[in-house]
Amino acid sequence: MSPSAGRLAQAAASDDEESLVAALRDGNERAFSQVVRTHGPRMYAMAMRLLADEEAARDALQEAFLSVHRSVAAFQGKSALATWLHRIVVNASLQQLRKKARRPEVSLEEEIPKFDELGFLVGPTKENPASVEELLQRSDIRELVRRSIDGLPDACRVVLVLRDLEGYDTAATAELLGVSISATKVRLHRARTALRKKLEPVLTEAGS
Amino acid sequence: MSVKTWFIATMGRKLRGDPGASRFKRRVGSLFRRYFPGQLTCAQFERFVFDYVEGTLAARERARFEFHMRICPMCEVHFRSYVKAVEMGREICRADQRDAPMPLPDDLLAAVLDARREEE
Repeated sequence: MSPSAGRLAQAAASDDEESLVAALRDGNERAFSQVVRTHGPRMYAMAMRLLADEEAARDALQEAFLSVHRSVAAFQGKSALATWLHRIVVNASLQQLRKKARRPEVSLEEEIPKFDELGFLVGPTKENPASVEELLQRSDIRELVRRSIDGLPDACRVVLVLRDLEGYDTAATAELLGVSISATKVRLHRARTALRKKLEPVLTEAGS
Repeated sequence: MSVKTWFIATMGRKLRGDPGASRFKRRVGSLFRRYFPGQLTCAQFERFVFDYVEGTLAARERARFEFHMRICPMCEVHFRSYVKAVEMGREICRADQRDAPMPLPDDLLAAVLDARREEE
């Protein structure tokens, strides 16, 4: 048994991440396959959330795992393997976004709040009293939320996904996107406002 | 004309979008500014929503923001639905992560493993 195979067996037995990473560093194909099978689905889901495009997400996942293969020697284990892989797939997805021909930007004009000539907001006056949990029990609403996020313009969707859904802080989001913190905040507010507008039919009472 | 008749006629014009409606709105606007000096308009309120949610609004602005929300039902609904929309997105994301993800499609798994072999 090669040293790396031994390490892999040890990893399988004790679920030891360190041994798995060591086997990966040794170029062990089974270790690589194990990482792809274990972490791949979550990474693919992450790429899908960021890119909202199946083909681009597949490309991003492949690029991400090639990047894992190339750079695992530099992985020092300071963070969990899953955290490191998450960061890699985020970067690969953002790279895809820059590389691919951009989808025509969707105008957010309709999603911007409207005010009358005196500056009063024009909109519904009654909230749907149902809680978030109650609303999300309905599969059609869950689907609407997913569709609404996917339908946001790329620049807004990635900020929303990274900052609000994946929990990166504003500075980390800005760094990942290569934009300023203030630009990140502006995009995030636009994305949230647009999402609110798309969900307005279920968040407010009809006819109000 | 009684006050009641005047009120009904005025509201009717307002609702129909009659030219008189804009005069009515201007009157309401001037009353608002007279009785609530220094308070936010809805447009200003909307510009503060982000910082309020983030907790980065200064104390004075926060007080003006909260006062506006108490007197303006439309802004209150706007604000609450803004917060709820973000929570819904977050919950969906959590649920998608929590639920056991499907295995990778076979062809994608094969493509990833092949790409690594080619790289060797």
